[in-house]
Amino acid sequence: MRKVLLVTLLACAAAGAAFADVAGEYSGSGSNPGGEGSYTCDVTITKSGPTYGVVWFFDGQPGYEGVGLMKDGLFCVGYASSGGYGVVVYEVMTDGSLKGVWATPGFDDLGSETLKKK
Amino acid sequence: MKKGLRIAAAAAIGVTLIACKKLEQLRGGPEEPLPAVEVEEPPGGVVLEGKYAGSGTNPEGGSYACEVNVRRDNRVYLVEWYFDGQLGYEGVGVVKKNNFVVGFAGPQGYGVVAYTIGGDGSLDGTWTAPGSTKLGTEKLTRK
Repeated sequence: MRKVLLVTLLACAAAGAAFADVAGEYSGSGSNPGGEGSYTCDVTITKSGPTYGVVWFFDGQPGYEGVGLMKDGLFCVGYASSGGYGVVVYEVMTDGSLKGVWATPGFDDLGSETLKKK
Repeated sequence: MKKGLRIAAAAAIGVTLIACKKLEQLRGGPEEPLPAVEVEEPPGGVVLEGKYAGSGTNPEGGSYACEVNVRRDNRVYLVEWYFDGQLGYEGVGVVKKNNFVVGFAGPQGYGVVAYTIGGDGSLDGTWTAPGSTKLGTEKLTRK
């Protein structure tokens, strides 16, 4: 009986993680395309129906804004600023962190970015 | 081994594994070498590059038709949307799992579209843009 309860709880936890709301405050670290340097950032994600708003802060200043949607457990975000635009695709991990790859025009390689909930 | 001992041993191993993982996470930091970025190819040998005819619906209602070009530059895809022959948006995309995800921008704003990659090479997408609380759809079929 205990075993059944444990399995049920674990299954619920896994399902919860899979459908977890990604809205929240994150601290992030990433690498530029081709491993050309690394960076840290703070990221705020807000939910609005099936869509999400994303803001990246660098040294406390907003740097990029984005808009996102969930698809197949992937958090897909298009972002833009005066400096350009791009795309990030995050996998929602079971611990609630977001593990992403990103691309921007002018670079033929991918960057990476991992966000951890604060 | 008695049942109680077995459980205790299993618990001890579990705790040790978790502790090792935590230690590993704590040790991780910017000083570590950057991990290689995993690059994925479209499933089933589908080639995304090419010309597509598209039709879609806006998040707030209404429909549209477009022509779409997809090019590949090493690990990154470049996308162009034409409306009545005029370039309307440009995009940059990556492949992840069974999805082709593109961030786009143009004089009218920016957004994101995530397409499911079909076995026949068609792309079935949902998209959104800032200010919208709903999703649009877009279906691309190969020309």
